[in-house]
Amino acid sequence: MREDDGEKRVYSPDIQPYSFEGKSYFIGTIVSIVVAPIRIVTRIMHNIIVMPANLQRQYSQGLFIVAGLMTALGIVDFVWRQHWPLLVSQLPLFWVAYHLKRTAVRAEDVAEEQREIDIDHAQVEELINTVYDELDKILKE
Amino acid sequence: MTAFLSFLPMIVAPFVLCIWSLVSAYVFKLGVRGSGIGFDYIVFTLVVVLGCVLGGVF
Repeated sequence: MREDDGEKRVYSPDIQPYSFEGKSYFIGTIVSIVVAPIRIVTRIMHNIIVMPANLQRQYSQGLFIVAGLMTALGIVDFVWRQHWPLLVSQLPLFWVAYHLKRTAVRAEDVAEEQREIDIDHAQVEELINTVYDELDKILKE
Repeated sequence: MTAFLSFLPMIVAPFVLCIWSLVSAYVFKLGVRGSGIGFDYIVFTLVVVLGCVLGGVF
């Protein structure tokens, strides 16, 4: 039986199919170059949407760092060359990062509350036996 | 039409740069199989940088 060491390990599914993977050789390389930006954006946007709470917290930290660095560059670009798009594009990301962090904290609090349940030892045994019975049935089939 | 096309990069660029930052944060912080620093990310970054330079955003 797996011990619970207090660390929450959550599997983040990457269920984006690899149907966009191109073939090798010259044509494949050209196709890959065209497809690569679409592939990475769709895959990562999907992963962000289905991200579990503990990864959301980590991701929000990363987003704060990236947005902070790019904002600094944006300020330099704006002061030096009067170009605003880089600075303006990064401002909403601080809100996104804050929102993700707040959502993660709330979800972790709820998960923490739900960790303790009242259950009788006999009920636990019955539950485990049910699972083993089901597994036996599957193995026999 | 020409004036609109000349201003188009300035409208599109903030959205593209926003997405680039979202992707970069994921890649650098949580890079997993298929979404880490690799061919896709390098090509995406090059496309964004080239687009911004050619569109006069940087």
